Amino acid sequence: MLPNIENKQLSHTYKGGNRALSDINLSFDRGLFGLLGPNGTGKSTLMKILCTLLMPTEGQVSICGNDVTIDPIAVRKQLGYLPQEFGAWRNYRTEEVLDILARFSGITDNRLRRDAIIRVLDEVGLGAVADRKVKKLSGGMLRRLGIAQALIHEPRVIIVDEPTVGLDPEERIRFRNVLSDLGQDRTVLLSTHIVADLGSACKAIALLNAGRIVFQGPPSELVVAATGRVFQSSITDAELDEYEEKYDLVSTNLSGDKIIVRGIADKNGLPKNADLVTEPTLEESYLAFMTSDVLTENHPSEKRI
Amino acid sequence: MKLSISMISAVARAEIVCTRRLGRYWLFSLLALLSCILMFALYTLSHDLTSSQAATLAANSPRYMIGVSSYFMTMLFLVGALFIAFDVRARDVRERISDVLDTHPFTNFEFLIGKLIGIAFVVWIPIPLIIFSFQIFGAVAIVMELPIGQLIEPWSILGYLWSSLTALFLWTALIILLSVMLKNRFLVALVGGGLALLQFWIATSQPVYLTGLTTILPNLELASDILPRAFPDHEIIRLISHWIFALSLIIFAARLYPRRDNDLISPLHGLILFAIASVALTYFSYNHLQTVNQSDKWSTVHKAKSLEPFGDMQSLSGSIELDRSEGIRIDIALEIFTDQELSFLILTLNPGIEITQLKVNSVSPKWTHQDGLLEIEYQLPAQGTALISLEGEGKPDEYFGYLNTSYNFMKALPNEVEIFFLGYKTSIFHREYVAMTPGGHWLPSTGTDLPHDDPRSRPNDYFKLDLEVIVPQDWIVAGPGKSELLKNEGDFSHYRFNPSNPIPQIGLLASSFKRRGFEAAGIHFEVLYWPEHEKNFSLFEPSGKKLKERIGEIFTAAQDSGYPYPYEALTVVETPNILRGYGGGWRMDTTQSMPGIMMLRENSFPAARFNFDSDVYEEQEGGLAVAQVKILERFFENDFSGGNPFTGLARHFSTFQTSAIGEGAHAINFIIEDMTSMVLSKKRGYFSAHEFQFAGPLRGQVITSMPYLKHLSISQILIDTITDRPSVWDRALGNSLASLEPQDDPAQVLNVLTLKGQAITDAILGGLGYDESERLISGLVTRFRGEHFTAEDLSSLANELAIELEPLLGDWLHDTALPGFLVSSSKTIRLKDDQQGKPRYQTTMHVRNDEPAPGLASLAYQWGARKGNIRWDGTRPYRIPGKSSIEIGIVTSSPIHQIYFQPSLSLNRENIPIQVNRPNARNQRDLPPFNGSRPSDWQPPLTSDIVIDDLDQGFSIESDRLIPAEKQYNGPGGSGRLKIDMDQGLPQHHAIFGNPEIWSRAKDDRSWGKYRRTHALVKSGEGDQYATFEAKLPHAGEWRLSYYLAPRFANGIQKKQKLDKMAVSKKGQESWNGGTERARAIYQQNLVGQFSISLLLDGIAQKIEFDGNVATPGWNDLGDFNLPAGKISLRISDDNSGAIVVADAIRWRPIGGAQSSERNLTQEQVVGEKGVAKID
Repeated sequence: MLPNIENKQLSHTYKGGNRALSDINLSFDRGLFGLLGPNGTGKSTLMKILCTLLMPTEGQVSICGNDVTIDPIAVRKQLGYLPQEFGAWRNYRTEEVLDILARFSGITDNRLRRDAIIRVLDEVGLGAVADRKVKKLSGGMLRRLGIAQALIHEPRVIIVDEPTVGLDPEERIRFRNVLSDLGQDRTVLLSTHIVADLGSACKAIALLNAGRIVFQGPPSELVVAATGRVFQSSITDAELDEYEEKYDLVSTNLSGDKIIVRGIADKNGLPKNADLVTEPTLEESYLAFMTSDVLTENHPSEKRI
Repeated sequence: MKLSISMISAVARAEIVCTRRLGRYWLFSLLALLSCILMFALYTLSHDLTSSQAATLAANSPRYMIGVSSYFMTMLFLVGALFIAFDVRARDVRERISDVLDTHPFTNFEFLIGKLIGIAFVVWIPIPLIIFSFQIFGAVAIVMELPIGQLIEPWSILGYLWSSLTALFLWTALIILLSVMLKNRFLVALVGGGLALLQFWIATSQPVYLTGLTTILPNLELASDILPRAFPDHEIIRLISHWIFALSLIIFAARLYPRRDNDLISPLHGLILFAIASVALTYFSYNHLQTVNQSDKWSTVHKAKSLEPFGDMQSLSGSIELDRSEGIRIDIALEIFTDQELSFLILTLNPGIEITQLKVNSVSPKWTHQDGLLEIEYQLPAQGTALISLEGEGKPDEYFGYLNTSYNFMKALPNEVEIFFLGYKTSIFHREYVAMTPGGHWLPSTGTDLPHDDPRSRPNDYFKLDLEVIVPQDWIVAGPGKSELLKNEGDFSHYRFNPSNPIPQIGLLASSFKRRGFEAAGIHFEVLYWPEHEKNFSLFEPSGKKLKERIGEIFTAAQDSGYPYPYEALTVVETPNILRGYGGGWRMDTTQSMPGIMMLRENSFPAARFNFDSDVYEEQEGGLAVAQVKILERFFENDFSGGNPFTGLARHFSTFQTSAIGEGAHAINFIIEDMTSMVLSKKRGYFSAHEFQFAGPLRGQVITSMPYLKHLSISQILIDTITDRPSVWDRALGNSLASLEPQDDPAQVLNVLTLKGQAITDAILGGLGYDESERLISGLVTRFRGEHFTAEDLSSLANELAIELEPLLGDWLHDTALPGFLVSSSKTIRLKDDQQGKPRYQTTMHVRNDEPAPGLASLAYQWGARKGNIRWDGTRPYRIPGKSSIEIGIVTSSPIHQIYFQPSLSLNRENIPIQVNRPNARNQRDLPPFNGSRPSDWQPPLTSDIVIDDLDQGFSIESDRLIPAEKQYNGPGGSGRLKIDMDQGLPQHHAIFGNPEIWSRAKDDRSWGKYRRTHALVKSGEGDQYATFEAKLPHAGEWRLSYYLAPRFANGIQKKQKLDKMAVSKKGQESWNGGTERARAIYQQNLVGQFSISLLLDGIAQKIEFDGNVATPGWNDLGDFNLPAGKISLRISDDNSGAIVVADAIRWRPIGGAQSSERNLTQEQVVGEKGVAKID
């Protein structure tokens, strides 16, 4: 059986000659998946291609077995999409937006549509604001409305692009939980440059850099790959500038008159007196990976997740 | 993949909801609603308030007007759709929902077609709501019997709703395509706005028939209760093509839409649909153009044979069967006589009739019947008779006929659209109504259909008729005279028409009419009307007896005078709006009167709103019944759409019986008809389809004149407005009635004919009296019934009857010259009381005809006790020989208040107000009373002054500016083009357009003039236009130069001071009011400032100072000049410090030295000695 999302030899070059994606091979099945990478590395291009908003110039992309270039309508039937800048009609009530988009998704039966609206509003925790106009929703609520509209027709694939930008920490956590729950019975592909958005429920991640996949695998593999490169030091205030210049620091915390810093070792190894972190976080692992020589020297073999 | 209707529906619903949330949608809807309500309210109010006054005004019924107002309403909604659809994608992008939408599983086509449906529907929906609310209002008005409000004809609503939805659908599709192609919404608005303007331009400036071909605007027709239908012929094909066009445009838009879909609907589909729509539209256009141009083709064929000799129809007999579902079948015999040898028999027969059998004198000759021309190869010797037996069947072509019409209404411009109110189908063949008019030639007539309407060469062809007409049994048929029911057989009834007198034409009108009628003076009078139009007929039931008496009076009077009504019955038949009510030829005369029949258009009497609820009628003399008869008479007298029954009836007694032929025949027929109308009913009418080209401005002029001419009927005001135009007078002065050539500006010829003809009628009626006039008509009809007569025949007959036409009229048919009258002021004295002790006042005045041509004139005077009944009376017309004077005397029992001198047809052109004096009632003079006229030696005194008036030859204009042929008029009565008339070489000035840009001529009672009082005027300008008065001084010496200024332009400073005084209250506060504003506007418009005047002598110019601000009314001295004999000019530039420059007259008066023996009138002398007009 084919995975829900599958890309083969996917490349995309814009009309001006800018090559945004090169030779992408990815496949995702059920679960929450992360697409990580700094801004401008082609994440949005890839997302647009997966969502049929953009047609690839090379390669093959299929969603639930449907090729996006051949039958985009069939792809869209299986797809829920929350774009990075989701707006909706400001003067509509929340449930009206969902009602219209549910109709657009093909739910013609009034009762089914009403049930679906109640269901998705509950799922995203917006049941209490069903009557509220869109323009009166908070940023987080709006994003959750975005998820609700993406869910309304129960798609097999949900693609979420940078969903937590601009949200407060509480909303981000809530949002992460919602996505985690969704990933249990469908494919949820989350594109982000914020590593923390990918919680423990994330089944696998793909790292994108300069239009190429530089890593794909479970987060644990990324952590393993980073082991031995993440250090922790207790330094003075005077030493901080030097550390910042020499290392990629992940965090700095004050502890009495000392500063506890965590960072990524450089080519020369750990700083003097630094302790090796045996269990780096995902963020530290991502940073360690992105600053490693691997990226510049050769790419690791991509492996199916 | 198939289209998902549910998806389209979902998108459409979403778009409807979305659009309804837009503020601009509600703004637009509100504006549209208000505009439509305003328009409807204006129609309703003006109709309900004025329709009872005039049949022509009743035609503007809102019940039938949707087709006419549809352009405006649809344009309004198209603009609304533009500003809702122009950002159809940009709106989603702005709301940041476009990416989400694009990932939904609909195709671009489904999405865009859904948007199209949503937008078109939501923009369109106010239209049915508005109309529905009008209908509710109309229904309430009917139920509650409100004085205003009525229902709109439902089929026309259906047609308009569908047409407007189609237009919106196509238009929105176009805007969506533009928005997809151009992306920038402002660019879309710009291009869309340009396309809307283009359509508006076509609809308002190009021939009406092009609107249907080149725009998406509705192509509707006048609604009708009798023949209700939603669309004109072939319109449904046009609408279908528009729907297909819209689909194809959406397919193109879907292809260009920046979103990938399955491409299952490809541009090829769009191209195929586009091609199908193009074919359908081409088919429509072809048929439409065929209809428009068909008459040209027919006309060409007939013209080729128009000079061929043809016979004279003696009789027509046989039968005609009218099967409402099949057509007509004719089986007839025509007897044709010829006084010259014929090698072909030429007849005109509607091309829709297919001849199945034809024989001539029992022989079957070769024949052809194409384009309505029937040519039979048959040699007929001079003085021979041919009996043509003809059988045929078919449906008549409804547009055939009137082939030589001087104005093709099919190519009317939008400003001329009111001509469509007169109908446009020559005949009608419909399941519910059949109108077989003579012009449609559904029965053969001799000769071609050309020439037509010119009795000089082609007078009426009178023949005997015996025709059986077979119609469906529930139908009633009206025809020439009385219908005799022969039998009912099967589903048909058999009627016979066999009038006792010859007829010149046959008309048959049949339908399931309702009938009302009575016998009046032995004539069966009947009204056949559409059953749904019962209301007004019931409303006038109280007048039944009085109406019968009134109609009986007319018939009896005619009979007693020796010219009885020629047929046994007169039937008034209601006709649908679309039936053409006017003919062809130069005159485009009414065709609503046919032998034995008078048509009643459904948008005249049946559509009018009468209200007899008030008790006021009961209080009047004769009660409601008499009041209703008067209202009816007024209503029908004011029918200027060809349905005036008084003129229609007069035609039955006159030209349906006999016609003039040869030189001046058209003028003789006109006068005979006019005279008959006057003797029968003392009413006359005016109709010319030509005037409907300029109906708006004309109506405006009549409405504007009404408050000032209360003593005249609307009919007379209209006639005066049309005929009292400078160009009409100019043409009248240059042509005798006999030399009037109708082909050269036919509309003008009719106006000249009206001007001169009615003056002659009035002269005959006034000079001979009504009894003698009736004796003349009776003699004419009796002697020449069914035949033709010449001018000499008429003259001989008059001599034979001892009716002195020659002394009264002179050579009225050939005279070109007109008299010119000078009148003195009147003088009233009190005579000794009569034997009964009643007071007597003697008023006298002198009149001189200063031209060689004799003329007629009468007086109209107002008199009566001031607190009692003041009334108008008039004298009979007096004939005043050339270069002679008469004195006129009037004796009244109280002093005269006003007198108007009324020249019949003269160089004066206008009635002249006469100054009256207040007599000394105590000073009773013992003089014999003098009533009538007597010779007088009065004449204005001699003078040596040399006066150059703006109408004299010495006056000229220098200007490089082009004179516009017409101007756009927007004002009371409607809008339209107003022809700019030329008044003796200068454009006529119309006050409604403000001060003229080029030198123009205006009438003004208080201007200088010998016969006519006019002045030239121009708006102050750059000094590049001049008026020059050139005089020839008879001798050298000192001359005083004076400049004439009418009162309205003089005393500028005093007027200003008065205005300032009006504008300031006692407390020093400004107190503006309407009167002050108007007075100030008039003052500013008429303000003459410092003139720029030069005296030119032998090429040397001398500037002359003349400040108009300090000028006094009348003559203003410009200075004394020592001048040699010979030519001298005074040149006035349009460079003036005021608002206007006026050139009226100048005067050279010798100061000492040699005196001239030549006589010239001066204003002072006129004022001082004759009192024609008091200038100061």
